Amino acid sequence: MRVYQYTSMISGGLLSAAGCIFLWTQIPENQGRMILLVILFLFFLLNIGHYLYFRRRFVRFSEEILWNAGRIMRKEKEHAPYREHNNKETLTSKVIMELEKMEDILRNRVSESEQEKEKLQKTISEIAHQVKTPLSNISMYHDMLSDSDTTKDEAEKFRKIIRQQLEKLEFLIDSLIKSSRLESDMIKLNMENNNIFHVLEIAVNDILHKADRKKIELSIRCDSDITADCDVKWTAEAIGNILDNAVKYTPEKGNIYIDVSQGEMYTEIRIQDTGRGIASGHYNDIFKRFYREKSVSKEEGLGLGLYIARNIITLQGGYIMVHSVPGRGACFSVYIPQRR
Amino acid sequence: MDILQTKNLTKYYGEEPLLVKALDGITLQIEQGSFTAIVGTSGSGKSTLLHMLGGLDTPTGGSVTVDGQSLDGMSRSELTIFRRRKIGFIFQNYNLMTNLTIYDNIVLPVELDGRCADKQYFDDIVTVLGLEDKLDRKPNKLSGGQQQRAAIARALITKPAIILADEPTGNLDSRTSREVVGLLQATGKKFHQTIVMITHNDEIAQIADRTIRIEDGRIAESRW
Repeated sequence: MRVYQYTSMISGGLLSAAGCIFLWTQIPENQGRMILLVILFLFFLLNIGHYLYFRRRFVRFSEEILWNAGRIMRKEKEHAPYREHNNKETLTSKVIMELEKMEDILRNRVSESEQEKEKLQKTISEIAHQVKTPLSNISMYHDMLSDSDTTKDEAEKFRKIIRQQLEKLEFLIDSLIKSSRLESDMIKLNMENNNIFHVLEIAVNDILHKADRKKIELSIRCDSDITADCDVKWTAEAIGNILDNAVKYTPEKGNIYIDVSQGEMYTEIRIQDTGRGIASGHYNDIFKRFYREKSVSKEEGLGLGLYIARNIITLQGGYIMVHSVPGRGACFSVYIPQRR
Repeated sequence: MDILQTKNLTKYYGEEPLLVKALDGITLQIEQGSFTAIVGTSGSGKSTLLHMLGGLDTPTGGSVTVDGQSLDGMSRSELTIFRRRKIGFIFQNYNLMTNLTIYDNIVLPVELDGRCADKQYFDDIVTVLGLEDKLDRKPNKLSGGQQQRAAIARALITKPAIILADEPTGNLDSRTSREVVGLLQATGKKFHQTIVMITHNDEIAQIADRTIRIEDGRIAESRW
């Protein structure tokens, strides 16, 4: 807008100057030339006036911007003159809006790092809670073992319990290391266009033995040429965790179906079981760290598997959705982007 | 921080004894950067609520505050500019301009405001939404899912304070629906956008951080 004003001013000036020179040569008498000079002078004054007017407007505009930038930085947005600039077609209003958005982004970053700290605090207290139970069990049974009254049979039983608790601790620590590596971006995902069938092979291998023991029938439907942009090892880990859950909560002689299909942007890996299912209100809860449904507390587990699975998939730009009819089975749909 | 607040929001139609209470005292806060799903059956008042949040309709009582600005005192022209700059809309039927290319459709809200789209940001959005090779096409040459992705890009381009999505998957098959909401959630997180989505479909709603259930114009349940 302003550039347009200046160019019109300059080109107007040049044009009229050319006109004046032309007239000067055409008018022979002095009187006529005098009149021309006066007109020229008036024109000059007009131009100066024009210039001063726009200069003043520009100065005012900069002052407004600076003043409002100060308001935004000092978080005094409620100040009345500031609010007057909102939602207008003026340049000031547009610049202020952009400044506000920038301030929003900066504030977001700050609050994000604060949230990170809170998350870390929560993680530490949750881990402490999880480690405490097996530790206090171990210490209790150790004391009982040391007691001279303990019979041989009892001692054997206590040793077994201590062994179990140690195994639980080991598993917990392993899982925690995995999840903390995922969260702190310590692992480097090796993203490539990978064959999904190959990923499924690795994932299924890990649970085949458990499924066999429960006589669960496993069927896979996956075209050999379906690919997705993912890290083979970690994706197999995520799928493996979901499959592990499916095996755990499906009764003997049940079924697990794996079905892979390609959509517009994502490759979907659908894992359906004929297990106990999940109540619709808990779809999001099951992905939370250390979440265990009350009715399944008898089953072994820490509530880390699905949490890790979701982290892996989210890190790769995908997501997981759940659908279930309680009592008739659950269906996990893992979506992985096809390309980047 | 709360980016959107409503206080005792009401919307009545007609008069006693035929008074219809479409919204009956809704008080809620939406946190910046969150993805909220508002679920309810048809006629529960969820669409009315979204229209109030976006300044598309005026409430009978109560107030709506978006990004620190109250919507009640605004004139029509102020409200128009406010919507253009602060709110991104995604509709069930995409509402793309059929005579414009996808590129022009996406940058439309910025150009309406007499500004130029940030090239880098535009490229980022288009890449994430997988629209790079569709930019010179007209909307009717694209599938429903692709059109809705273009509508998501159009909502993102102004970096609005909040994105309001009204049944964004209403016209899509279930597979594409799940892809589009997944993408909506992923882009929301990537670009730190606050999203409020209306849906009658519980399965779609699970992707959100928070679900608010509306029944008979009131909040029946709100869970994280």
